[in-house]
Amino acid sequence: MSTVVDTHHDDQHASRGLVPWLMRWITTTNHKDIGTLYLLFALVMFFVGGSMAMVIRAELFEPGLQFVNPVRFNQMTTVHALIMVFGMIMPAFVGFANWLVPLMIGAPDMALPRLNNWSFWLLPFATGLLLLTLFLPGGAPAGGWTMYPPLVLQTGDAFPFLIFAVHLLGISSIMGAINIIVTIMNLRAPGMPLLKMPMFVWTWLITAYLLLLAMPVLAGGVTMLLTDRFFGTSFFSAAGGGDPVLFQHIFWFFGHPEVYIIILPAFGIVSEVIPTFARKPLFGYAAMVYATASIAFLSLVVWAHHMFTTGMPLAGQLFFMLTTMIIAVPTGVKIFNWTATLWKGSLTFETPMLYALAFLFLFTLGGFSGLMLALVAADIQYHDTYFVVAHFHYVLVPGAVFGAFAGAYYWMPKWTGHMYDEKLGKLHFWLTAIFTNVTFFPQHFLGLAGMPRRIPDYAPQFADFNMISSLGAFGLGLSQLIFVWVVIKCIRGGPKAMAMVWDHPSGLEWTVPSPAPHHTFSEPPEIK
Amino acid sequence: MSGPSLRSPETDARRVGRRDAALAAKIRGNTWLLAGFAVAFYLGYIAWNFFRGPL
Repeated sequence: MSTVVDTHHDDQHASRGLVPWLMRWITTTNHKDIGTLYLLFALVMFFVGGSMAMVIRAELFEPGLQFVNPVRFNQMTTVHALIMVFGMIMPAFVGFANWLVPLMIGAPDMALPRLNNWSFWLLPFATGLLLLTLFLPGGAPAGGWTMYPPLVLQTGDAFPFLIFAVHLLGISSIMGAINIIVTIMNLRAPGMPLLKMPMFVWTWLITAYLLLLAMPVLAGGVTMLLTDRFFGTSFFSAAGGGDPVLFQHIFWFFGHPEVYIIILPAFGIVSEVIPTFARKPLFGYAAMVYATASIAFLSLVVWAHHMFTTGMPLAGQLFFMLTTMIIAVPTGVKIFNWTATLWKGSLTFETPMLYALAFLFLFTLGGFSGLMLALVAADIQYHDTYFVVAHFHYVLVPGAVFGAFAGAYYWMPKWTGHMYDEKLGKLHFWLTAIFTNVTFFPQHFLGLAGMPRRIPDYAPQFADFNMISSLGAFGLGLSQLIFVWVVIKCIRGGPKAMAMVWDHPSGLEWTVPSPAPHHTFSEPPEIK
Repeated sequence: MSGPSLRSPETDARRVGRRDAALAAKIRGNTWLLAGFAVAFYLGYIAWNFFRGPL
């Protein structure tokens, strides 16, 4: 196993020709290269998963069946979710971690560079396996990303591909989590105690521990599915003495922390962006750290709020309702502290700040609909309706995706050495923000009116809001092409970025030139 | 520490080497501990479900 004392053999980054160029990217152990690979991979998957969303919304544009049969529709919803969660947003934040954690703590690289390379290169194979199922007899998995038995056990030839893909994705995530924990705990520059680390590093440290606690449980669950299907066990088969609801417990013991695994790094990015553009230090740094840790802890004891309709005892319903609602307290602390950071700041509204502010407002809306869903009596009405779809898309799109966009615009000049096109960035922001709301806000009304989720056809009274939602989705999808153009333009040229890109940002990453050199902090910096 | 011999480049290099070796060992230890935890959690959870319920 390689550690920090290894020297990298990546001087070939200067080499020319297709094969050396390919080998450089395949064999790289440099954290910046691997961060770039993660980010580009996530961007590609954003469009792959997004194209499936376009199929879903095209089908739902009007009542009746238009483009795909119901089985294909269910395959689209299942693979869209799996790709967006495991192939897009998680790799995007791991990309940020790879690029930024060593720079922020003054480390020369990740502690385990070869493991880092392996973590990344598992991803294309895992997502490739998943996407391959679209072309298998019987098609892709169609039982939902939650993979509930007994439905998922009816999947055709795609079943073992699904299980193997989830295992690979899990192994990749666990290795990434171990690498991040070990890096942060061992390679901080002298003079940087834990409570002096940037918030982004803190949120990733906590996220990595969550990954380590949640992922093995998912892996265990899907292994048990595999043995139920092929090796005669009955973990989840009532006929054999097992219990299908057990899988729901296992899945959501992973699934709810997963929500926070996705959102905590976005919290970290927003905690870096808001102070920079408010020109004030983050309000209540220590409280932010403790709030993040509290959210992570609570996320491990709320899982059954996804299962209120399975017939659990009243005491269980009350416990999970109350713990879920308690999460609002540390989350409220964070929202308050970001708002307090803005208070009397010298605000400017560059693209990263616009995304961070939209995050603040819209994520809070998503949080409020989460509180509505936490109420057992209300949840029994909302369960499996479009209200739930609206809720989690408000958390994941304006939450996680806007957080990722804020971070991408914030650090893009540091990564590429060029300033991005601010006008295009702002255009991208406004179109994305408007179309996100046009897409997902009407889904609240659809859910409250009783439209079930995961259906390709619906009653005529749902037609208007579905049409609005679909138009919004097409606009949202098209707007993302602007981002691709911004990234290409920024990589190819533009005004040169200085080391300190913004007006007095804090953090060690701004002390190195832009673009950040291939090797940084060979000698650890002194923190005063 | 003082004395000209302790400040020689060779001694410095040895000291840095020792520190790096100790750090590398600590990193390896941390890594195996976390990996062991993940594997134990994964296998332990399956085993617990296997032996806990009638199959």
